[in-house]
Order: sequence, then C-alpha cells, then structure tokens
Amino acid sequence: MAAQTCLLTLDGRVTDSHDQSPMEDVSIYITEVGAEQWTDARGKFSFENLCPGTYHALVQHIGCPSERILIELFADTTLSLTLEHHENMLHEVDVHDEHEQAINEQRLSVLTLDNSAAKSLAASVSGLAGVSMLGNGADIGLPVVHGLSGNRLTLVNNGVVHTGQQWGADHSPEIDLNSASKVSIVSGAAAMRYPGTHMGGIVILESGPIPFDPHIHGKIRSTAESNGRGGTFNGQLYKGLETLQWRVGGTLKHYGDRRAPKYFLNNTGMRQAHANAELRKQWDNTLEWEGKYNFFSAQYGVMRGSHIGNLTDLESAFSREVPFFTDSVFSYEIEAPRQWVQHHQLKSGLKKHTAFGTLEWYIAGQRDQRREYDVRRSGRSDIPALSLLQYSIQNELLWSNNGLETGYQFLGRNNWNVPETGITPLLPNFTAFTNGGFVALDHSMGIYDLEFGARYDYTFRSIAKLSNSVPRVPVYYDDNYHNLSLLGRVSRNLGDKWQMLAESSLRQRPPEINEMYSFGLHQGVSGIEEGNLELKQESGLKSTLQLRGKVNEKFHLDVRAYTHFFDGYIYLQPQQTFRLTIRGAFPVFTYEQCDARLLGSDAVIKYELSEHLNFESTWGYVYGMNTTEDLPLNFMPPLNIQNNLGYEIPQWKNWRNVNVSVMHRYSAQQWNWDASLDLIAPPESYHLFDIHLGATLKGGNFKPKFRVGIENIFNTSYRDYLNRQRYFADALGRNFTLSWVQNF
Amino acid sequence: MKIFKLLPLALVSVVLFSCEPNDPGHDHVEELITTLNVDLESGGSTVTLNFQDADGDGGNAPVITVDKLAANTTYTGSITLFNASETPAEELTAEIFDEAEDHQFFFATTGASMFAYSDQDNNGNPVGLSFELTTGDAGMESYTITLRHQPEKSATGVSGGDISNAGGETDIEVVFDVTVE
Repeated sequence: MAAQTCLLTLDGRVTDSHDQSPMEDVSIYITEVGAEQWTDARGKFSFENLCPGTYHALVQHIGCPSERILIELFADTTLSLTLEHHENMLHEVDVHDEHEQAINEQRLSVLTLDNSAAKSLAASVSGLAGVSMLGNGADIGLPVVHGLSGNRLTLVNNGVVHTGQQWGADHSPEIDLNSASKVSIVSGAAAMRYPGTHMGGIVILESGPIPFDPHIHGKIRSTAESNGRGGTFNGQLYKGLETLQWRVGGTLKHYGDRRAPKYFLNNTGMRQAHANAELRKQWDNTLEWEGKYNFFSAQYGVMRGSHIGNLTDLESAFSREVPFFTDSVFSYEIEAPRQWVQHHQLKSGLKKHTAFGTLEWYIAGQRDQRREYDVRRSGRSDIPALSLLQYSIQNELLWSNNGLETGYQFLGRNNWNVPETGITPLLPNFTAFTNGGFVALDHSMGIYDLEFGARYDYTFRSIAKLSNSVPRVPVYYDDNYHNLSLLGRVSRNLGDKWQMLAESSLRQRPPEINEMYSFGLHQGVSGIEEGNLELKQESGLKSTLQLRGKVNEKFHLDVRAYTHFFDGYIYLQPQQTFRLTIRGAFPVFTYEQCDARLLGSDAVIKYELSEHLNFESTWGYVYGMNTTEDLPLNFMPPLNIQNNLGYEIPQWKNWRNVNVSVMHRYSAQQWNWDASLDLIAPPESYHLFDIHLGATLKGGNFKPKFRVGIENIFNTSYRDYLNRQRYFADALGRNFTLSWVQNF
Repeated sequence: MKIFKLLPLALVSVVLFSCEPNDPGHDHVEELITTLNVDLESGGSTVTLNFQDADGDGGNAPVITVDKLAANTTYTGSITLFNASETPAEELTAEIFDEAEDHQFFFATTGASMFAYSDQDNNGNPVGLSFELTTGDAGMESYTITLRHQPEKSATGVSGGDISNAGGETDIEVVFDVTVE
C-alpha cells in the first residue's frame, strides 16, 4: 500500500518514437505543484516528495507540440514516454506509440497542422513530397498526389469517403482541415480498404483520440493575415472520461480581396464557418461506439477578371498587364462570380472485439449542396447558375483478425440539379450505387512484411438529363461497371537503419458522371465541356519502390520512385476548332481516353547541421505522357523543390522553444508540354521565400505559443502552372501572418 | 445492448434512399439570347441581318441570314434580341434597355461603312440598340457586332465606339459578311 505522506517519486524516461533513442532537454512541468524538470542526456527525469493525487503534466520539447498527460499518483511511479509522431495518450500513463508512421504513408505532424490552421486542406498537404495543389486562386483547390487528383483521389474524413463535386478543378473539398488532428496520405492495403474511385492514393483525415482526463480541456488556434486582411479562428473543447469521451469544435474564417504584388485580385474574398462534434462510448472493454458530425460551409469569391467570355476576350486577357475589372480599392464584399457550398456529414460507428477478431459496423450520411453564381443580366446574379444537391449514404461491415481484414461496403449517391437556375445544367441528375468487398492480408516473416489485397466493386448508375440538342427533352441512361483491385506489397528492414518497400497495385474505376454526361459552358475551364458516352472504365497499374532510413545519425533519407501505366486514361482534350455561338467563339474540351504512362519520383532529406540547426529538403516530380497520341498529359505538376532551414533554442529570456525557420520553394516551368494542349504556354519557373519565428511564452498556467511570419518575403510576382487563375493574374504577393495557439 | 441484427446492409441503405434519379423536368431557360436581329431601314424599306444559334452551346452551327445593302446609303438601325429556345420566342431587348448603363454595342467593319450611336443611357453614354449606318461604295465587308456587359464606358474612346479599352464581358459577338451593291 502506498504511504499517505508526501514522499512519492515520479520519474521516467523520454525516448524518440522512431528509434527509441533518449531525448534530452524535454521539459516536464507538473501544473499542480508548479515544478519543472528537464530530461538529461539519458532522457531521464525525476520528481520527488510528491503527495498522492492527480496531476496534470505538460511535456514539451523543441519541435514537438506540447502534450498533456494525466497522472494518478498513488505509489512511486515510473513513466515511459515517447515523443515525435506520438499518437495516443490513452488511459493510464503508458504512452507508447503504436502507430509509427508506416513506410509509404506521409503524415502532416500536429505541429504542421497547427501552423497551417489558416490554410485549406489542399494547400497544407501540398508541402508533402509528391503532393501539389490544383486550383483556382489561393483558397480554391484540390490535392494532387503523384499526378492524380479529382476523380482519381479519394478523401476519407473520419473513416467516411468524402462525396461531393470533386470532379471540378475549381471545387475545393468540403472538409475543414482544423477538425483533423491527423492528416496522412497512404497507399497499399490501407487504400484497399476504402470504397471510392481512387487510382492509388488516398488522403485520410482523422480527428484523433480524445485523451483520458476528467477535466475539460481545449485548444485555440487563431491566425491573422495581411494578404486578404483576414483571419482564421478555430476552437476545440474535449473531455475524456473512462468510458465516455466527447469533443466539439468550430472554425471561422473571414477574408477580403487577396493581393498579387502589383494589384488586387478583386472579388477573391472568402467566408467559412464549420463545426464538428463527436461522442464516444465504451462498454465493458469489448464494445465501443462513436458518433461524429461535421458541418462545413463556405463562400468563395471567384476573381472577377477570371470569368471571361469568349475566345476574343480570353486572348485579350492573356495579353493584359493588369486583369480586367481590377480595382485599386480593397473590399470584403463577395459578389458574382462566387461559389457557395454547404456540407453535412453524420457518422455512427460500432466496434466489437471478440475472441474471433474485431467486428465493425459504420454507417454515414452526407449532404452536399453547391451553388455557383455568375454575373447575369436583369438581377439574375442572385440566382445560381449551377445548383447541385447530393445525398450519399455509406454502410460498411468489417471484420479483422490477426492481420486479416475483410469487409463489405455499400455506397449510394443521389445527385440532382435544383430547378432554380434557368440554365441547362452542366451535370445531369443521377443515382449511383456501389456494392463492394475487399480482403487485405498483412503478414510478417522475419525482416519481411508482406501485404496482399483484393477488392471488387460493382457500380450501377441511372442518369437523367436534358438532351444536348434542341428541343431539350429528358433522356435517360443506365450503366454498370465491375471494378477489380489487386495489391501486392513487400517491405523489408535492411539492417536496423533502413527499410525498403516494393509495391504493385492494379486499380480500376468507372468513367465518372461528368466525364460521360457533362455538357455546357464550364466557367472553371473557360470553355465548353462535353462528356463522352463511349468511355470505358479506366485501369491503372502502379509500381512503387521506396527506400528510407538513416545514412548516419544526422542524415535521414526517404526516396520513392514509381511508374503508373494506364489503359483507358480519361482526360480532357482541347479541340482544335472552336465552337461558334452568339457570344463568339469558345474553346471546346471533350473527354477522351488513351493509354498513358506516369513516371515519378519524390524524396525527403533531413539533415541535422548542428544541435540547433536542421535542414530539410523535399523534392517531387512526375512525368506524364499520353502514349496513344505521343503527347504530354495536361496539367501534371512540374518539378518542385522545397527547402527548409530551421534554427531552434530551448529558451531565451521569457520564451521557450524559440525557433526560426526559412523556407524556400522552387517550382520549375513545366517543360513537358505541347502547344495543342493549352491556350497559353506554362508560366516561368519561380522561387518563393518564407520566414517564420515562433516561441512559447513561459510562466503561468497558460503557455501560449506565438508565431509571426512573412510569406513571399520578396513580394515575387509569379504564376503557378496548376492554378487556373494564371491565365489572368499573378499569384499572391507578400503576406504577414501572426498566429496564436493555446492549449488549455 | 447487443446490436447485431444483421439486416442486409444494402437494403437498409436503399430504403433510406430513392432508387431513381430526379427527373430533369422542363428546361425553362430565361435569359439565353439565341437570336440577334438587325433591322436597317432606309427610305421606307428595311433590310435585315439575322444571327440565330438555336442550341446555344451545342454543336449545331448558327444560321446567319444577310440581306444585301445599297451603297452610299444611310440606314436607321435597330437591334432586337430573342430567346428562340422558348416557344413562343421571347424578346429580350428590354433587358438590355433596362440595364442600359451596363451594356454597350460596338460595331466594327472591314470596309468603308460607318456606324454612329443614336441612343443613350442615363449617364449620356451610348448603348447601341439604335444606331445609324452609312455605307460607302460597293464591295464586300464584314461587320462585327459585339455586346459588352459592364464595360467601362468612361475609358478612352469607348463612348465613341472604340472597343479597345472597354473591358467587360462579351455577351454577343457576331460577324456578318455583307455585300454592298
């Protein structure tokens, strides 16, 4: 029995979760006692003469987000703590990280997420190797992973496949980055498990565990930015009891016109309001339930000068120094053209652990509503030009045991055009049902880890649209597809410092609704888009080789190379003749199919120059060819390189964890290009520089973390190949940022 | 509470969901301009230039009909706009007229013809629904008639009919190949 006098000892050791090496200079601060200890060179710390009771300890280290742990101290206790890529701070006090970042998974650390609180999902993941952003302006964009985006990339938000209108490059995913504490990009068996039409890459967002702590805790993240004169505010509250945990949170964003170095990008303001709530309950150690609700709403202004009419207008826009409709006056007003989107997601999940394995049942519903407003005559600018409403439901049953996972999934979607627009819709009404099942097997054999996966999906769709020709009458279509996926993967440890991975996966996807049935002027591409009824399903075979490890203690390397062969690659081809309408001539884009080949490589290099100085470099490149026509694939990301130099000291005056980082980004000109593919040549290569200074304030119970920064320090004028706004205007100029993160 | 009454999951989901897509319904397109009609009147008789693109963005080529014009004649011109995708065809000229400050027609020619505005919006700037056309000697010419939405009428040359600095969005751009004889 523990003594009831105050003679208890709390000690322990802190190690790095990657390689179990001891971590020095980790601060352990016990709130109730106001005492702080620092770990020594062996990672050890010790508190003595403590009274029995409950303590909140704050664990902090350079480069790691601070973490709270709850300690129930009734006897001498020794803690074993791991930091970096930590995941779970569960129950008792054992904090071993079970889910180290797996090979072929890339993750945004909590620290990066805190620093990216003001950014969109696509913008924040674009810092990872092999990932870019395809978009229209600063705030509207989709992630591109290894050259794949839109219909070829699946986003999974808290276990639910995100459904919306991701076929458009000018449609951002309706996911609040701030509702996630873990964002990762995965392939392999983890990718096999989800339904959806991806071709090898998945972006997974999870809200993360709720730490066990009977007191209410929370987090605030707030950022102010000079470019756009706006700010972002995110707050979360959570509470973790023994068998019941909850979390609620919300985000608000308010921005006005953004600015390129030489002029305002008028009408690029943005408003966002999001909310998330979750509740988890456990019964008798074998049954758990969780309910999650996410709400996303946003209004985006589309730059007025980028909504240009016919070919004559386009050509005169291309030659202008300053875009049409540029005003020297800043405004928060958002007028047409603009986008308004609202998304609800509700999920219920049940998990039962039995002697024969774990059984899980998830059911989720989503409602996605998108209205796009154009500049129209006679007061019709307030009537949407595109009004889409989509409901989806997902239902899945999974069973896993000892490395074997199998499941059955149902995904249903119902999409329709709300009849308020007065314009023939670009996308038809449809229902789509997918029934699918998968098997994934993970097996370790000594230094080898093998994974196999197989998946089959049957999709049935019904389409109802108005005919392309006049008189416009309803026409109906049905189609169905069988899609097969296979995966084989071997990873192996080479010594104790290196890991190697070889993976090959076959995936198939049906031609998407927009690729087959869309018709009309799509302002997002400044042209008329026409679907193709003849399209067949697309198949892709991707083979990846990855090597990661330590050259020496200071030098980490992670390199990956891949080939991706497609049969039936679906793409948008510009036609060589223009369409004449009463508004003049318009470029026409039709969906075609070809054989294609993508070859790519990306790498992350980390080097510790000294105890306080570290360097990280990220490279990514993909080379895409349409091998049927012997032409480049359009809108592939060009070579990009990102370098980061960071300097950090444990303390300075009243501040702790003081860090300065300088980031350099280089984007090459896309040289794999043909004049028949685009209206203007790809923009020139550019260099951008950012600098940030951050620190945590010492003393008191609240330890706020501040960060100031300048993005695009030199106010460089540039245009990015993957940003559709480049036809009309430069990208963002200098931006001063100030952010505050507070855990409590 | 033990949960697993394993109903077929597909069935559960389908019950909550309608199987058939919503009917697209009647397409009531209000503001589409399909037809530009130019009436040129001189000495009691009228000749007409007409551009009609019934299927809008669709692939069917527009139908352009052009009457012959007399040389060295001054015509009083008027433009009317229609939406022929509706039955009966709806005249939309009034929509331009009601938003006169936001619209201006521009006339360009490859030959000797001259255009002059005969109407004005509330700010004293031209609109172009009414104009005067003076033809020169006989020959073949191309007239380009452009309607700009929200042009900058106060920019240099714009109110005189020079489109170079006008800006705005092109709502109409049609080319008529005419014979002046």
